[in-house]
Amino acid sequence: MILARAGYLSLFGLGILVPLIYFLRARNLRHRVSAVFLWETLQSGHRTRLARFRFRLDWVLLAQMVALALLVVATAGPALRVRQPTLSTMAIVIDGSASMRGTTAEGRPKAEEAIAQALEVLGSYPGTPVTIIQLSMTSKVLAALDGDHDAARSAIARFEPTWTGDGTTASLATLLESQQATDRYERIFLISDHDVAELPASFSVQFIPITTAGNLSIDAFNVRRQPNGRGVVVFAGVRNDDSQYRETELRVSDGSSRVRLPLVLAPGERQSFVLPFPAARGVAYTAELTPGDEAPFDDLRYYVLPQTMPRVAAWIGPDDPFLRAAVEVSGPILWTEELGEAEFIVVNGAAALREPETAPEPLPKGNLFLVSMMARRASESSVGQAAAFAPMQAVAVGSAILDGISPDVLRVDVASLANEDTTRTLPGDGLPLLIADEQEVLVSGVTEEGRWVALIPDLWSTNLPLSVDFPLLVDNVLAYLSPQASSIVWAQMEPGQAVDLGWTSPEAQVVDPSGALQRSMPAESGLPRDDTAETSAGGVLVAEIPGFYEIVTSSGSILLASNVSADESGSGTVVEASGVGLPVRTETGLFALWPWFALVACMVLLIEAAVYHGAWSPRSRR
Amino acid sequence: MTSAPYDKALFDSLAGLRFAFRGRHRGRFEGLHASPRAGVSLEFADYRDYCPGDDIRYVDWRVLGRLNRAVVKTFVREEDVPISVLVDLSASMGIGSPAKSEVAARLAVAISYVALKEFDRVGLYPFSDALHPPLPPRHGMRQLARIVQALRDATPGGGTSIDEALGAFAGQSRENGLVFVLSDFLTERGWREGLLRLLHRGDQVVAVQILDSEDLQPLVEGIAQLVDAETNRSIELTVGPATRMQYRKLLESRIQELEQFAVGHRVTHFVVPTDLPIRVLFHEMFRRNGVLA
Repeated sequence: MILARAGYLSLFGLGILVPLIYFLRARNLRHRVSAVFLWETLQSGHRTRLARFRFRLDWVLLAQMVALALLVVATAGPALRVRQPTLSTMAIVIDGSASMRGTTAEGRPKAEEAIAQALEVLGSYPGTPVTIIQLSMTSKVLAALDGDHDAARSAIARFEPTWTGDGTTASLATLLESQQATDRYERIFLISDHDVAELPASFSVQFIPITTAGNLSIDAFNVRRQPNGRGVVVFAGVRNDDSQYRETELRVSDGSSRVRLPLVLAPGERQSFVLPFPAARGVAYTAELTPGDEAPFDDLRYYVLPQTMPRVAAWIGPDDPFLRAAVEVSGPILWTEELGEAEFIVVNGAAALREPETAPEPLPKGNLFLVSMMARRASESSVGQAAAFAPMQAVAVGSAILDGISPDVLRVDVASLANEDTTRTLPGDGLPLLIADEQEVLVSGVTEEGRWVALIPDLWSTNLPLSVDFPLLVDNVLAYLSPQASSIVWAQMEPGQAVDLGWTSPEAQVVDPSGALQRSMPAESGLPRDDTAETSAGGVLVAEIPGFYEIVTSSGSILLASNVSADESGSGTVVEASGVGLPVRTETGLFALWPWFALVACMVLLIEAAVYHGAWSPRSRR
Repeated sequence: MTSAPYDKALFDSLAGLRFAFRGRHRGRFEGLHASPRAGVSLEFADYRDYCPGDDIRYVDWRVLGRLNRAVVKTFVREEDVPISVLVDLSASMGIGSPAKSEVAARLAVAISYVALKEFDRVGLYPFSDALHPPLPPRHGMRQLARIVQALRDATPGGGTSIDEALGAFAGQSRENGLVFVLSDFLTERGWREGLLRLLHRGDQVVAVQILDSEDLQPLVEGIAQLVDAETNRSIELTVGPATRMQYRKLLESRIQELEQFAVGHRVTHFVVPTDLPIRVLFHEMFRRNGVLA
């Protein structure tokens, strides 16, 4: 044992205070007795006068002196030379995927076990620079590479599993390399409840497994509308990865009504079901196992039926049932009189295109679908008289507006185009999409006030109203004018998965499953503050927790369902430790003993107090 | 004494106990103890010759048929016995932890409870250097409440004069019975005359000598100023093991003196340390020495 501050041993001189105080305390003791007349006959002889000078073992005095000696030694900084394992650098990688929210085979929360293992590793290599990484779909560095183990310890203590899926080895390698650009890690400690795919060969990995308790999970959940419109059909899969028979109940709910299915699952059994749910009315559904198990993240699943967001539109000009039907068949339309609220405006019978002198009113601002309708109806417009019409030709190959359109079967009365000077009446320079006899038929363009698409000839001078491509063409035009998708087919997502919300309006907001209003988009794009996903122009939503997310826009709201990946439902397989025998260097270090000396001194003082108050004495002291 | 001298656990431990009496005492009311007088009970006492006026239901017809002599059966009369509890409340009883006076109060309550449950009358007679205002013997559990309240209100103080207190008690009480004297018997004025007066009246006396561990094994050491609790007289003494040994011998001789007196005069004597559980005193010491039936 060495002493860092040997000079402090001079404090032993304070030890004289203890017996001094003791003897001072012993003087002039007043003692009440029941019968002093009994003592009066004993008045002291020579022997009793000397009694106080005899040796008497006083345990209180002894304990005080021992405690003082221990404290003095503690202040002198005692330490032992010991050989400690050491590494140049190391990384502790903790699996932060949702499966870590379960329990170990021993019934302890996996996160607690992982923290304990990480702290044990950290304590085994004192002084070694370490970085702490949480590995998940949204991996992050909990503590940068540094020799400060207190900071690393507090970072480990803050560890909390995410709801996301497993992280990739590529992202782990990227994070590791971001912390150690010049040299490789001498050792990487990977703490996880499942085998992780091989890391690059340059990494020396010691795998510390976390066991998994038997798990009961819903590994599949889907809902489809009944073709007859009477409720829905539920598809569900339930798996028992436990070693025991499990009895539970599957409850599927739409928020107001529910169906229940009692289940008994054998060990390792998976059952799948098709449940009719005729009373279902909503679009959001939950499937829940009741009772669940100690890993509740996969006992409750969410599903949302594909929904449609209504588009706000305005109509100018006389009504035309063919055109209106084609517009409304592209998706639900919310017609409005306020042009400023409309996502697009249908200008029907736009005489201004051909006769600007007689129509001095300017075109409205916004996204415009311009259709010329002022001409008399062409009685010859029929498929049967296609020979009187010139065929249309596509000149903008690859344009989304012409996606799925066959121009070969489309005809236009060239005579209705020949006498018109159309270019002067368009909102601006446009891109011809369809021409006939070298005359522009369909033109699109963009101005500062919005997008526009112009169908130049009179609709009834073409065979478009009678063509099967007409609704598709109108749908493409509206999709170009209003980028909002007519049908949300990706209503399901996983925590950690980035979902592009580019179709939403700038005022759109996200309400998360807890009911809290998240960041508006695209100002902060719904991204977690510490996330690494990139933001698209229209905003990105990264769900952090499972549940229903609600996207609220000016024209309505839609729901998105967020579910933990089914891969996170552990199969209960036993994972083996690996890399335990990797070589470790040792070096001489100092093991501080002063806390132990101080601890023993405190214990001695406690014993002294107990002895003084008679707890350990056969007779009480008064 | 502000602390409660009784609790439910104490009473539970005393359930079913009953004091025993040597001989037959004359009581004032009917009770459960045999009386020297004949009376009505289930216990047969004797035959006597028939006298005109006797209830012919008690004529023993078999004896009449066999001996041609009319006799009537007499039965033992069962009466109550007054129990008097004399509690020393001098200043020396305030010493100890718990104080001897607290132990005496708990013991007095326990004695009263056992007696009142057996339909005997119990009286409380506190004393120090004189007899304090007593609670005369009465039946019923209300008397127990009065005793408890009196002991709660009492405060140890003054000197000890057992002779004078017992003499005053003998003058006040006309009935003889069972008398408990609860004291440390550490007095310069003596106790012999007082006890003799009780014995002369025909009382059955139980002397309970309550001593604290500080009385029995004092811890005082070194130069100490010893102050008398009753008189405040003090002496300065250098106390060592030899002094303490002499003290213990002296105290032992005082205890032996009382013990020899008790043996010679059919007084039951107990030395009760303050840390002795009352349950042990009743179930072992009282029962072994015939105080309890």
